Amino acid sequence: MDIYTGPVGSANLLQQIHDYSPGISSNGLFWLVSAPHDAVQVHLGSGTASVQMTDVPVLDAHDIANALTGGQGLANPPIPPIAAVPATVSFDIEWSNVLEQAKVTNAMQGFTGQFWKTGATIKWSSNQAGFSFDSEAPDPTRNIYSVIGHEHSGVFFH
Amino acid sequence: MPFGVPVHHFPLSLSVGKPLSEINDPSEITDFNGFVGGVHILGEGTGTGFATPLAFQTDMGFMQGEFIGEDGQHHNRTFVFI
Repeated sequence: MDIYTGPVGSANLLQQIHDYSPGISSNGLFWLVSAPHDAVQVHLGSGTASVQMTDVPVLDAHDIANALTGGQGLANPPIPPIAAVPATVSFDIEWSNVLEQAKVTNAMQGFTGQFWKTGATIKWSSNQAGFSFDSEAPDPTRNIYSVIGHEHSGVFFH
Repeated sequence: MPFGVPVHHFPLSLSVGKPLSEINDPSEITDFNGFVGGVHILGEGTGTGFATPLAFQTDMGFMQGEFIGEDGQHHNRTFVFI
């Protein structure tokens, strides 16, 4: 979850001022949090799903470069090192309005399954010392790409 | 490998019109059998101390189902990618 000073649609690293994630676990789990089962609702028959979580503890690494380098910054482009600070995020994501349905198999990435390309909206907020953010009302026109499905990967890939 | 850092994350698609058949794996974990979701949304909102709207980008998702853990055992859990 990233925030930029540029206009909507911009995702310029040099304009990024907040980068929220749970961090990278020592075992390599990337930006994942364990969630209560009922935080996620999936209804593939109707092509809908939702995820709702409140006050999830995360880190604000300021920008994706510092998020990925553990606060070391970058030499090129020049991104100064910035230490992450604690924050919380809340979000409500809704998938609906099926645009396409297909079975997808990708042997190189080792997954197969039934997928639905859909519309989607999000309403989210963040809170931390000295800053809070509230997104606009859910707006289907802001969606770039959204998918739900049921897949098998790795040892389940067949 | 963004900025030289190896991560297990495939962006769903960088193109609005890309067909479903060309998506990357939405799951952040392997050896997985279950429901997945992914979403990429660009929008705006209001932030403390800023008179004009701020832009946001969210690349998020979920995984709910069975997987093989590092312990070699089957587990059933729900994860959210933030």
